[in-house]
Amino acid sequence: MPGSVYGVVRRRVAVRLAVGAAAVLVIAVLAAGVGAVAIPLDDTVAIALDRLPGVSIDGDWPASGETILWKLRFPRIVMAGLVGGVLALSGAAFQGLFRNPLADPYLVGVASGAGLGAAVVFLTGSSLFAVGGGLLPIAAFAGALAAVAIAYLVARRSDGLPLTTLILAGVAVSALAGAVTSLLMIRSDPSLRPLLSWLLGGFSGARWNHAWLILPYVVPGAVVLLAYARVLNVMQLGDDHARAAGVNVERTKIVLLGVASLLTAAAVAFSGVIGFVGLVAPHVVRRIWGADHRFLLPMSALVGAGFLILADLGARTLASPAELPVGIITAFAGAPFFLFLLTRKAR
Amino acid sequence: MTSPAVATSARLALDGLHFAYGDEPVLRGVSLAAKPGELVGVLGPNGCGKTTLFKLVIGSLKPAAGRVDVDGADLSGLGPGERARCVAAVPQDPVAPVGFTAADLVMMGRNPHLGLLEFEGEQDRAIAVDAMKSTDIIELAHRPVSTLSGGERQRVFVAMALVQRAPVMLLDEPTSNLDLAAQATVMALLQRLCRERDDTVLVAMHDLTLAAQWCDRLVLMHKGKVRTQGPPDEVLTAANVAAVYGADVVIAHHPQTGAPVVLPRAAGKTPSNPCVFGTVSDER
Repeated sequence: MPGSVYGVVRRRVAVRLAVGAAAVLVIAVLAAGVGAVAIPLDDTVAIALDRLPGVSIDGDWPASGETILWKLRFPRIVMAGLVGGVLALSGAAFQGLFRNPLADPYLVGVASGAGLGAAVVFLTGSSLFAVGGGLLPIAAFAGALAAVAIAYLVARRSDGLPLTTLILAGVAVSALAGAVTSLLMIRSDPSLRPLLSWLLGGFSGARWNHAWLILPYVVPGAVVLLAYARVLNVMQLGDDHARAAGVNVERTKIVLLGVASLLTAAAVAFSGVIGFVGLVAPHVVRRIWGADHRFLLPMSALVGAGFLILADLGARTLASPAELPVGIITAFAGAPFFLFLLTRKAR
Repeated sequence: MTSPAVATSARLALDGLHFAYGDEPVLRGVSLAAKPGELVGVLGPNGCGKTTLFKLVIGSLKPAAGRVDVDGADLSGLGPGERARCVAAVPQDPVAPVGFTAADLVMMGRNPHLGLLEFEGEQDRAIAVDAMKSTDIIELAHRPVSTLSGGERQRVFVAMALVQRAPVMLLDEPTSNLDLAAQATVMALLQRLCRERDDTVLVAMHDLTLAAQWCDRLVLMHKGKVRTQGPPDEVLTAANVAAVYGADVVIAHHPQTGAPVVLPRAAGKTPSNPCVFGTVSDER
């Protein structure tokens, strides 16, 4: 009898996640072949596998193809996948934490804080660009976390963290940081264009070391969020009921807010503020497969990763040889799909 | 679950609980005890402190003074998980989250028994299925909770509280939004849990008559204090109801059980047939 009520579910979940992960991999390999220089699928696969430890493939692909893939497209795709996954994962966690479908990873000030940090570097210290991407990602990262920290400190009460107050504080901090950014931009318009395109986000400058720099945040952060998936389910019942069911509500709020913000800040630091992924991906998953966070969180990450890899493919090919900011693509592709989804009956 | 030593003493003991929201005292020394297997109705008008009392027992609020004991152990030092293994609760108007089935919701009750990265095992599933059987919701297992009727939903929440396997269960007005049949179903379910599992169940209620039919004992609260507690026919007197609710009532008795039935006094009328409601005791 337990089998018929609960038995099949977990196997089905594992299968779906495996299919999702495989789909992301397929998208990544296919996307790598497309570009100004088209690379055949078998060459792409061979070039990718050849560098795996313990694998050696005899092939006669052109050396230029190997350079293009390993120096340009692979890091770009990996970064797009990582950032898309992180934004969607954080978005799902925020939507669950705030019990609000409008929540996205930028709700409590990460985006505008990062934007302000970036603006300060762009407009005052552009000479300080240096090793490993330079000062820009550090300033964006610091700005993002500072904005969340201010919102948190304002909203915090002695007996807990009221989430509505936190959202309002986040909105206010965002508005303030956005105003300062706008002011800086208006006062120095010659350097406005690169900042604007950074704000809209993109992966044209993606390098392997960017991925190595954000992985120390992404991996433990994702593990923590996934570990809280069951607790997030219980949190949907409201603070009091969750507490009665054994949830340490205040600790959960702080951990989720802190970790999701840290993940988002790490993603934003190198890629800029890419909108829509963190909002839409969890919705897609929730409307198709339900709201169990143990599935919702990992599946959202996969959907976000696949989506952003495709969006970045559009960004580098649609207006080739020019680059489109990937944020424009995510909105163009994501918004109509989201609207379509809203017309469908939810599960 | 009950050793002879525990069975004789109180399962749940509240001792001198005080609480204030700011300068506004809400509880002013509430003490009560409930034995294993006892279904206790907590009555009183809006604002008398019932919900605050439950929040103190759950741990959502901290008492300014006083203590909460379960099986003789003080709850104040316990973490949220340990506390939830002692006391389960269904709050007033519980949220039915979108996207979860009844079976999902019931399984959430195993949360205090599982570690952060732990998945529920065969034993947890068996406990959940057992709870769904005893609350008669097994056919609803795969239905989204948000599509269930009020009575079905309430049984799902009771099942969720059950799988916490806590010896004490609190329910804040579990019948207030239910129709007549669903009210009786939920109350009969709670009574059966007390009888069969020896659980101690505290129910906050507004319907005095409903409480009197099902509860073993009633606690009548007034302005943050316990005015009186005891068997239903001792607590629900016209004088007590008048003092606490300011309502002019007569007390009748159920023709089958003899349990008190609280009725508003009809001004200036004498009954044409006083036997319709069994005996009417008029003691203003």
